[in-house]
Amino acid sequence: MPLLAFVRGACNPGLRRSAGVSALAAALYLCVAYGALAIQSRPEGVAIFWPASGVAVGLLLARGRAWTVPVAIGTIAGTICANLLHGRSPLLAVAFSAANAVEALLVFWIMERQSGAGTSLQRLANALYFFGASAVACAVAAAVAAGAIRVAGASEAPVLDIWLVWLLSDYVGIVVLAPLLVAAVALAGQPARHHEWTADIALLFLLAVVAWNALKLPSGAGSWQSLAPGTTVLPVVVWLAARGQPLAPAMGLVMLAALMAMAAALGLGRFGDASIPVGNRILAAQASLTVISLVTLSISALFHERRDAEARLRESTERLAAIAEASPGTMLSILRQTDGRLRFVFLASTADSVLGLGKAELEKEAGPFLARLAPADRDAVLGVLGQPPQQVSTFRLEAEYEHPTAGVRWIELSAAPVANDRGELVWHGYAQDVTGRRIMTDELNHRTRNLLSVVQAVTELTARSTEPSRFAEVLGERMEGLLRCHDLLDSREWHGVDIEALVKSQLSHVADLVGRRILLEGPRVLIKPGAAQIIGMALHELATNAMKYGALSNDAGSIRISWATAIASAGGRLQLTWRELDGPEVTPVTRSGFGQKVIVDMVQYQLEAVVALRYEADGVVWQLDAPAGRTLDVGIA
Amino acid sequence: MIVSDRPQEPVLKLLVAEDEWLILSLIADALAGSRFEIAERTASVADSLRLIDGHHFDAAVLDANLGGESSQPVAARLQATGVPFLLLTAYASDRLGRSFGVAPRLIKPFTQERLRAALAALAGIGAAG
Repeated sequence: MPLLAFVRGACNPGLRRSAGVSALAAALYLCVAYGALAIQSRPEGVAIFWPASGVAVGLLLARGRAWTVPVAIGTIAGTICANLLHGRSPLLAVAFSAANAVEALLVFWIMERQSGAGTSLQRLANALYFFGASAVACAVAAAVAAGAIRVAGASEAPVLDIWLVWLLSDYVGIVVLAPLLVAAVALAGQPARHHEWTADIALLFLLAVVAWNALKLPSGAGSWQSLAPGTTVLPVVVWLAARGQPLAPAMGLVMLAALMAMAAALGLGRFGDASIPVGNRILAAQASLTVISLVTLSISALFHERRDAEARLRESTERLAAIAEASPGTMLSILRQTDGRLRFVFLASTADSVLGLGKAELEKEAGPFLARLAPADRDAVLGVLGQPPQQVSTFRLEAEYEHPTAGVRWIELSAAPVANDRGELVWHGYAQDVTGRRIMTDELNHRTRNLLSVVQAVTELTARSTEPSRFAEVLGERMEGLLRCHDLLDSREWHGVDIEALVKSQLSHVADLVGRRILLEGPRVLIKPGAAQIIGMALHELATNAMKYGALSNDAGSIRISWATAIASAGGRLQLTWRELDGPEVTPVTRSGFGQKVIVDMVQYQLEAVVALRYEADGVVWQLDAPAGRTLDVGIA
Repeated sequence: MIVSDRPQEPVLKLLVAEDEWLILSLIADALAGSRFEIAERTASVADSLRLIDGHHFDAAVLDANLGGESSQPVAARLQATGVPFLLLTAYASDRLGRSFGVAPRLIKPFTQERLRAALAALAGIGAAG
């Protein structure tokens, strides 16, 4: 049902809010228009200012794009009502309403186009644009209105005069009232914190007293103040504006305008002096109000921007300080003076532990730091820091550093150059202790070289004891055995490995026989990584021989691998036995090949073990008896 | 091979302190037929020190690390007794610092050729000193 849909639509919160804004704009317009007429109604029928024009501009600048349509509608409605109630023709009422709506939208449009950062009057550039944009918009609106007046024949005055009168009173109305609405709406949206309103109220009261005193002085009173009335008013206005909260100075401005209009209406002071032509008095009042508004808005914006900049600077400083404290290493800034001398101009408190030198000492001179660098590294650091300003760039280097308490450390130093106003260079960066990283890379390199030397030795020794035609095959098998052992150790993170897993790793090519022809027997024992590599190599050679010549070379043979630990007198022993059964008849190896050396000589030498190798009738027996200290992982028994 | 071509020169007694049997075998292999004869072999610092005190060596091959222990005391003892030695290490960088003095170094892994050349140079030092 269309009606229901309409009702639902009207209940839409967005629409309700827009309608509310329109109603607010219209009501405000009516109130302000009537208030102004009440104060300013004079026989001449001309007003010093038309504050109602400030209503629409103020609301638009306060809330921006979202309020354009409702404010325009409200302004049109308010203007039409005000004019009809005032007894003007409907044609004029509609024409004036269009002029007012165009005026407000134009101010907003120009400001939004000119300033890339919103329409807040709290920025100095925006405040100045506001005066320019209002002048242009009022000129356009005044042309529309003056044209309508001529067409309707409502006035006999020259069209240019009508245009100028309309332009000036609307303009002053905007620059006096719009700032108050902007400040009020902003304050309603976000209440000011930490603001001392008592002082503002006292200053407003003072302003009222001072202004009224100045305004009611007759022009020829003979007092010094009557020659320069602004001297007493302006300081109070500036004081109010400098306090930072824009509402109070905006209220002061509106109050001044109202007092001026009242003085004029009551025939008091210069503005009410009938001996001066009314046009001159009105222009003088308009000029004063415009200048006071300009001063108020400019100073208010300047102080706001300053406070804003201070807050940002403080935030940024605090952020950098927190980052400096929480960062690894120590943040620092090194200044290179024009005479080439270096000194630290900033050091995080962590400098004490990283460099071992006091902040105070280093901020006088960088010498104590540089003296602790290894000579070659010191030259490198001085070389980078001493480059001509046009060649400098961010650097990062590692230097050996004689730490006062922690001995020789490796320091990573990195910084980016920034030239300051005095032609000096400041290097901002950090120093970090990277000794751990350095040791790790050294250790990795060390391990790799050790591994390669094992590979190289196995290769050379294999080459000397193997037929060239079988070299690749034999070497490949040995490498695979080493790799399986390495994988096993790696999976245990180079801690002790279970002896059963170690044995199985070297039997992986006959894994299907384990549990059937290959029997493993023994308690859970953890073997040290170094010993595991040795035992692994020996088991690999034993398994290879068993496959080729021993118990696994026929269908009947079997192998029993058993181990035990003896916690006996001499600190404990590990005993491991490899016994082949039912293999082909054994012929003892006469030539002592590499494999033979591995299972006997190597194991004996590296594990301080006793190794027995016997060739019994039905199979080889290999027995290892090694001290626990060389073989068993600590703490496991 | 430079050395082995001159069989008339006296045999030089060598101490090899190396805890890796594979490297030891490689050294033994490389020295077959040379002027050098491996008089003693050991895998520990304590053993090395004992052997240096009890025997005369013309030269030594010393692994920088024996059974997880720095062999710096052995180097110091060799220097004190005037025995030239070749230091074996897997550290490519100068991590060992100055604690091993100015002894010639052979970085692992090495070929047998390089080992023989280094030992020949060491014999030269020994003859000069």
